[in-house]
Amino acid sequence: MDQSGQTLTIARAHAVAYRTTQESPGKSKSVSKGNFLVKLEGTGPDGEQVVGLGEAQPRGAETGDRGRISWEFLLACAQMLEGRPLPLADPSSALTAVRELMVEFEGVASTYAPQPGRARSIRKTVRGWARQVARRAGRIDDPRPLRGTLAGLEAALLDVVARGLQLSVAELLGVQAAKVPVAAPWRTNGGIAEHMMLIKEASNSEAASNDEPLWIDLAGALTPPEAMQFVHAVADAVRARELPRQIVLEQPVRSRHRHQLPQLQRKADTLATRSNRSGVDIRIMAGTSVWSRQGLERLVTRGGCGALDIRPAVVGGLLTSIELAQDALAANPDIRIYLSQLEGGTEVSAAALRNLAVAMPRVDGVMIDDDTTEVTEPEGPGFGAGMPYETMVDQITDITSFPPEPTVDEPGMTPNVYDEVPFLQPLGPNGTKGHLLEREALALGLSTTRYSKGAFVAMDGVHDPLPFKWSRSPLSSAVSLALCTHKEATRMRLARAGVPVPKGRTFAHGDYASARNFAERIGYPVVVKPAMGVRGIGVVANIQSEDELDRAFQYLEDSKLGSQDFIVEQHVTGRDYRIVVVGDEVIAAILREPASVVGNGQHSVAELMVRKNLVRRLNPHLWGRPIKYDDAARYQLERAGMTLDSVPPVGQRVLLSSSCSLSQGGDSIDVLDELHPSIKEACVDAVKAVPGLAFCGVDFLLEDHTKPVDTQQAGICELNAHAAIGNCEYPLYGQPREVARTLMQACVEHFDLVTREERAERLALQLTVRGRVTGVGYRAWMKRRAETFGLTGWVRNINERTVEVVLVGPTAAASALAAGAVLGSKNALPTSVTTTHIEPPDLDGFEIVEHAPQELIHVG
Amino acid sequence: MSVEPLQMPDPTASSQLAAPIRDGHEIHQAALRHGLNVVLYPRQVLMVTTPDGEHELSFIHGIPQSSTLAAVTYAQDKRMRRAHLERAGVPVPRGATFSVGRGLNDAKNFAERIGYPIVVKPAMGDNAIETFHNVLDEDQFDRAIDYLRTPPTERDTFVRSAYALTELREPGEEEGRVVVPPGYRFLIEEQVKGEYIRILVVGGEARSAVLLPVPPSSMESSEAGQDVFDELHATARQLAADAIRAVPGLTVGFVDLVVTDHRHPVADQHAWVVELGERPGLSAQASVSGELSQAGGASILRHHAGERSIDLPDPQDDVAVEFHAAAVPDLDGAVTVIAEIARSMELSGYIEITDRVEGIADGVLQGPAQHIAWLAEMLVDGTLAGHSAMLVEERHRERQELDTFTVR
Repeated sequence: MDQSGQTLTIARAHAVAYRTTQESPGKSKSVSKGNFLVKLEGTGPDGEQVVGLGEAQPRGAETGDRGRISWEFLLACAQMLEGRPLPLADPSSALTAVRELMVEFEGVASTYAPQPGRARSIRKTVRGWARQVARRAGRIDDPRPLRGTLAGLEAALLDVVARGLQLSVAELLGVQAAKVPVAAPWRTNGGIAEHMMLIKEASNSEAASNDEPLWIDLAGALTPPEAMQFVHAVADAVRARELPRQIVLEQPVRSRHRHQLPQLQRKADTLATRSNRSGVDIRIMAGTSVWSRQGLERLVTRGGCGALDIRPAVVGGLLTSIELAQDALAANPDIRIYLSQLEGGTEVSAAALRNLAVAMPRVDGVMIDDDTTEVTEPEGPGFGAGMPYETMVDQITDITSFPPEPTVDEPGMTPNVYDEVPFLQPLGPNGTKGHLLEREALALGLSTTRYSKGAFVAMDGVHDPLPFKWSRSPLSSAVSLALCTHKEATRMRLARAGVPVPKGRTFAHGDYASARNFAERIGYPVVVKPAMGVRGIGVVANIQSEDELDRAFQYLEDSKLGSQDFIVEQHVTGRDYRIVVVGDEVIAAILREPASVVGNGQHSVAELMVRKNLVRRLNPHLWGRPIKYDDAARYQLERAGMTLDSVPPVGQRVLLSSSCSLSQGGDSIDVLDELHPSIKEACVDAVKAVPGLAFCGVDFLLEDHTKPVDTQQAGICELNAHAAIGNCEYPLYGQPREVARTLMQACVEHFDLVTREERAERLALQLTVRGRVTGVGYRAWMKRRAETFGLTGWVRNINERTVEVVLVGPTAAASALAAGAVLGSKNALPTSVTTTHIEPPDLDGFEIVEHAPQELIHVG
Repeated sequence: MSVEPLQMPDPTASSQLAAPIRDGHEIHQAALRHGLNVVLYPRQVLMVTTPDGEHELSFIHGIPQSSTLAAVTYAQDKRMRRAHLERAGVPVPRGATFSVGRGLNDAKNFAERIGYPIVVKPAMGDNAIETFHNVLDEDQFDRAIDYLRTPPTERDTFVRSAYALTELREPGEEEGRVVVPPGYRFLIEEQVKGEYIRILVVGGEARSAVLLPVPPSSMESSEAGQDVFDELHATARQLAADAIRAVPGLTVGFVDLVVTDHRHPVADQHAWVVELGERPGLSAQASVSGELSQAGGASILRHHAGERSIDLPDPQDDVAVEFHAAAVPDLDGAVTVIAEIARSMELSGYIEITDRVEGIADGVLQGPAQHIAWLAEMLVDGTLAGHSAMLVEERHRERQELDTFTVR
């Protein structure tokens, strides 16, 4: 078909931000990386729709990216792509168009490069000069910023045009090899000793015997002298036939010592020649330290090295990867070239690498994280990858589309969104619990001193300070917490107070006869669980008969906690409510429902989930508690005969969990006004039964919250003496309730504090921040935050361990930053922040100053 | 069901009462002496009511209801506690907190700077336990840290009264061993030298003082102390009261003071508050004598009753109560053991199983209040020869003529 003059038009460009987590070798915790996905919707010449995907892996210095800036850059480029035509005449014109676009984007990227600011210290000034000199001398590369983001854009463009041409990306780029061997490096953390051990381990492995090249990634772990020593050790081991003949040592020294690589290669060559074993070949491989043609050229001038590991995200894309390989081969036809990717990529990056592998002028090994031994020519079209929802559907934090997606009528309740989220988010997922009480204290004109994310004291200057930690207040007693955190003690106490609780009892291990009698008396269904349970081990719920009970005992016996005493209790079938009591009044109530999405007839389950999670991100309590795509979700979908790609009809509710926990993605729905008075009464009675319990979250199982408590199955299963505040303050649906304000007001009344008459909507605050707060970028951090929050004021150093901050603006923003001040910049370690009220100074913006521009007048 | 071999405990010997339940036990017996009815829940939650049922007082591990949740939380956070003491002008040894992760090198540098020996303790949790005194060098310091790297709930010294512990972070794993997250913090303090005095403060006043031969590193203090309350200088008593006042909301607490000579004014010598707790810490008093510990408990009960304007009846050593134990897992075994121990303590009365299905036993106990309190505390603690109950109630009644103790 003659396609000359035909074009593909980008109808819509989406930028998706998400996190990926994966296990990292040598670390006990998995690492979490922020990625972007570029999704381009194209319309072909005949109106056909094609979608191209590219994954960006912005990784700070490694790829020349910088968090927020990279995202803004991506959005600017996505906007530029909207409506762009791309020629589809033939692969070469399509490739040229992609190249031209990339040049355009690189131009935009250079405007995002950090501008050298005014140096604030002699050290920084000297460092700046040194950098300039080095650049002029050609010792460091010209900055090519945002390469990780650029690589993602390029990949999406290649994918979309290849699909338009009905080719694989490999075909588009030009297939050079039918197959490429898969290789994997040996890695460890640590210094020379750890690497020596690693070689020994490698020498005992299969690789040592089958004479395949052995690839060891040292990730810059050694100093130059250590690296030299290591090369000697490896050569010795090869000579002793403990290692295969062919060894590749990747990036033995740090990037700043990359000029040492040629010297190490020469040493390796000399040692290989002297070896009594034939065919010994030890290659020093440049890794992430060489990411540009300029850098490669410099390496070659110094003598070059024997191998190169190219990571598309580091060098800035697939096309650049090919060019770099061509240059390297031109300088040294014998060079070995490996391909690998950065940690934390999805199947989109992996697919891109497969396509690139067969399109490179030479590849000796490609690192692909699966069981295959070789990469063959991918079938396409494009990269052959779809949306990687399986990996990241529950990790998406932002989606921006150009043009914006048309709105779809959503059935069901309209979720709440809250504009204070940006202020509360920096305080972490439990920020509401640690901060909201302080916000209300400040709004009432009290001063505060904060010691940590959770702890602060409030002062009126007259009475003793009132301490708070998370939601533990001076209003409640120590006794109340001790009682409430012991389930059996709570049950006993509430039952004696005549409050409905699930009947239950502890039995000695093995005393099943008594337990059977007890179940008979309280009636089925019942629950069996270990007395000191953890994570639901050995628990069986909804046991309907003695037969099932015996099976539950067997299950418990076989579990890890089978030797414990155990509990048999009534199984209350009901919905899950959280009811908040302050003093003797119910002030908030939510119904908690398991995670779900509701079909709109247009979007898939995955897309609905993403949309709902994005709405949850606009909720101060739920932004860090997304619906998760885990085993529970997969189980629920399977039960409903659905997958992530299913499109549920309008109004169909698709369950994604069986747990009502908000942390597992559950919904919160305000029901306070509908609550039956008898239910409120039962809650207040329960709270009164616990001595000195002034603030409590009552977990109530009820069939129907609008009906009298004695006409239904009902049971209080837990009292929370340090309950969350944000769950009722910020319900997903229904009326928000002022939990923090009510609790703080109760404290003010009980301790007779002197406060303002009215809650202030704006605050003018002076913060005195003590601790490790100078020489750690604290003032710049504060200025950035204050400006983002729309606050005016200043920040200045008072002495080596004290910083003063003045903040003026709306209460939500100013109080949240006052709380955040105790966290500070990355290396800061503030020990306390004292916040007092001042007359608002006359200011326009937020400045870092040496001296206070105005005298402060304290109020309150 | 098998019963563990029965060892006849002697409740008058303090070694028979695990130190963690000492404080609650002393309040319990004081309440029985003063004719109050008692309900004891797990975790030593003790609720006592006046005979007319009009008033109720409650305690946890001997801490009265008027000590606030926020206050006990602060008392268990040693960094905030130090900050509050410093602000109140109470002298504390030089010290700082560090994390077991990135803070370790800083911690060693700090230790070098203030000079060994040092004291190492967890930054949060129950006070005066898991404290490493007299850490002489880096090697010993490493060993202390290694101990603290085990999550608190996995340690031998773990007790369940930790209100301050809300560890939301997941523990890590290191070479197959479960360890605390790298953000877990510990406190280093200068090891100060002098006499080690534990002072009980109730209602803003020092009530008792014990000179301890060695600083307590756990709740168990085995070496006998010496009652020095009468000689303790008034300024030292005031310093202890000031220290408790610095953590607003504590009705009761202990303060550990290190001074050169407790008989002289603190201003004339070196003096530091090295420890402070929200509990009475009566195991120190118990190391002197049972009476001293008992008197401490009585003073707390009387003070708390006073806060609520409750008049207590005069104390009686011998009492008679109806005894009710609920949710007893091994009912037959427990009843047998209770009877045997009651007889050995020369209590009179009886016990019988009243509801097998609910696990309830009822009876009558007559005799010294402290023995009855001891039996109840051990049973709810689950340490009465391995037997336990989820609730014990004792209601005063008229004394009956009963010769011995029987199972009915």
